Amino acid sequence: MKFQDDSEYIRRVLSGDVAAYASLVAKHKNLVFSIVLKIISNREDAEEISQDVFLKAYQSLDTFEGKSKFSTWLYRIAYNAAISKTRKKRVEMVAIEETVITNYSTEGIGRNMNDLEENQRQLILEKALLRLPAEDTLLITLFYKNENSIDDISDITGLSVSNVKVRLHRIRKKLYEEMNGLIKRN
Amino acid sequence: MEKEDFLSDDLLKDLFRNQSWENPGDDFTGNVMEQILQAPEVSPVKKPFYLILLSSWPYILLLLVSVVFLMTSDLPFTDYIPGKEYFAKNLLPYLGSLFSGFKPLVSNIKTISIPLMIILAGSLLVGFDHFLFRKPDVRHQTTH
Repeated sequence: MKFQDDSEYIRRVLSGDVAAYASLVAKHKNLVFSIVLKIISNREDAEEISQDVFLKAYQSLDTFEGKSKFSTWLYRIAYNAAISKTRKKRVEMVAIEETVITNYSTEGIGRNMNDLEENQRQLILEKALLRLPAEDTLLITLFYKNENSIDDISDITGLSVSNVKVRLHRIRKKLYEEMNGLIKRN
Repeated sequence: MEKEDFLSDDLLKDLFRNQSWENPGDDFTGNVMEQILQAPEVSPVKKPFYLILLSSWPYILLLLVSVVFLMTSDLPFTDYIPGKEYFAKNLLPYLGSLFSGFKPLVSNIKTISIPLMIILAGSLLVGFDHFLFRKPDVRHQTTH
């Protein structure tokens, strides 16, 4: 399905065409669901929260000023909804200690990864991501998979730009360490 | 490992690019739209009457009425208003002629003048109500 620009759907919804919102939902549902699922880790809860996210976004659509992209605005709602849900469950985030990260060469890991089949590479990445704290998985996914800029991620998460940079740097190191361990075990 | 290395990590970019997003259930969009349509709709909020005072129209209207009143009244102190005589002699007849066209219209339909007046008055009231209490932003709104 080919989608139009978000601003066109927003204009139509704001002028009374409620059905146009279905296109916005269809366009962004996978990413919103993925963001929530990465933090919540339960499909059923994630689906329910994602639906609430779209409902909340609809109700406050007239407050969207267009200063950032609609997707960034929507992902921020999703991120906050998921985070507040996990805080209710009192899930503690595990801080990454930089001191425990061992020295390794990214080129070496790259060569080792290239020797593997694509499905094995994906499996190692998935397993390594599962070992990271949920919020870190989300940050690195937004950056590398969704190609969100540092500024976008700062907008979505509410972290400062410098904090996002530091965290991405650390998460990447931790991810490489996990992948390295998984490759060696294979 | 440099602090900014993550910005140009082609290996991770490649790996993540081939990852697929998670999909919610097939009825996800339908469920969201159902919730939106089922949510109670708030009746459009009418502007409070006093907000009309923030507009310039009441003041312009009040000024016009005051000018016409002062220029046409027989109150003693109004004799000293400059230009009153000129207004009464030259402008007032033209002002009267503005409405003279309506005179034959009403005088020719004397038999139904009362029902017609009621309809006209009603229409005027509805018109004024519509103008003064325009809906601020009429669209589907929900409460939660």
